[in-house]
Amino acid sequence: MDLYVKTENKNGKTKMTDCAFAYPYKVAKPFERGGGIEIMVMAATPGIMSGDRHTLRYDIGGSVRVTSQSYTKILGMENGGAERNTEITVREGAFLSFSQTPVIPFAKSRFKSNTVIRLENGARLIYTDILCAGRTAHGERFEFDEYFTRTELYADGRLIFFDSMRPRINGRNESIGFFEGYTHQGLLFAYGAELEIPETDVECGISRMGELTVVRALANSAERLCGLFEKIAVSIK
Amino acid sequence: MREYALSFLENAAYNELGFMYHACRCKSDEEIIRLDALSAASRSAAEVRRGMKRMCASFLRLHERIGTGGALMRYKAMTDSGRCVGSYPVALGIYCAQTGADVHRALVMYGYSLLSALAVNGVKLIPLGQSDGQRVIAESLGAVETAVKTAMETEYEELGISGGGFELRAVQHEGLYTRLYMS
Repeated sequence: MDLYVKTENKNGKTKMTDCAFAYPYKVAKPFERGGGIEIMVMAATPGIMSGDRHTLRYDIGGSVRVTSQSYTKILGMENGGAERNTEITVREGAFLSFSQTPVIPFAKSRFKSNTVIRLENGARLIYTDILCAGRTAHGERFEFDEYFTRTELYADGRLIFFDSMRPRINGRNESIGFFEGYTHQGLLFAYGAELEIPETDVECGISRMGELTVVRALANSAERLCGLFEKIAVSIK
Repeated sequence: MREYALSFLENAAYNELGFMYHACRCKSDEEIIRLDALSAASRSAAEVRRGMKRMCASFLRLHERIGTGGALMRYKAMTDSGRCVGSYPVALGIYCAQTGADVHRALVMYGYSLLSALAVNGVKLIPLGQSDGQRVIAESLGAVETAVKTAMETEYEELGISGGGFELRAVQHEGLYTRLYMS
């Protein structure tokens, strides 16, 4: 285990009751925010490197926002690859806002990520994920060797949402149906939370299925997607 | 339109065609339940989920009426009871397996029907002439074969890979004034 965070609702107040981490992860002291706590996860490394196999576990009670400090950079790799497995459990009646910073896979990087989120009865969630095509300011687009992510969301033990991304080398990444000429792709999904898209000129859309809401977006900068998702997150009722 | 068809087929290898192929290979109801859940959950747009469920329900009702039994009717019972959501490609795969049909040919037929439906939509919406639509189909037949080959090499963990643009457009379609209809 490279990171473990446990929070609980203690007499109406959210407390981080357990926390353990190994290099390169660090967890800042949580601070109170909007009736809950915000936890910042930091990584003391220039980026994810070949051979990294990270396992992260969050056990969430109360009301929690998890953020990270800087963009996740997946560095170029001569050989091998990196992997990250994340397990999140949101306990009965709890709320989690999980705002990941954008991921930048560098040229020649290889990265696999699996995220499993389990919501117990009455749990609520908002989760964001932003992928950049590479170091686009350097003109680098889709030059990574492998970028493969799977995200599963279960509510009361039932799979209710699944997302998987795997832009391929020499694939139709720039084409219609994929990135469509944009360099950044954003996904936000929420469960048990009412939300709206604010007035925006970002290419985006929203769909609702019972308790589940999915927002998809394409843009040419990570900041625009972060800004949009931040506005949506604060609009949650 | 041709660009759209090529992208659609590349994506279909990991979605519609991939789910059908894996359903052909399921050995137990538990595997079907797992595949059905993944198929339904991998769509971002509520409208697409509803459409897929309705197509599946119609297909299963039809086969109930004509007396098809076996695994397909067990799948119907599981969708009726709520254990399964109902996925059209999964139902096609189950039917293909129980009839002993040639899997490659069945996948090509499904791929062709997806391409044909896509061309019809293009003819109506863009709009294109009938012969333009036919040309798109003819020029994309090789891509159907490629997509089927990819689908037959797809591992379970590769199913449901999304083309972000397709998901975004499907989500946006729900709020459009001018809309596609299902006939």
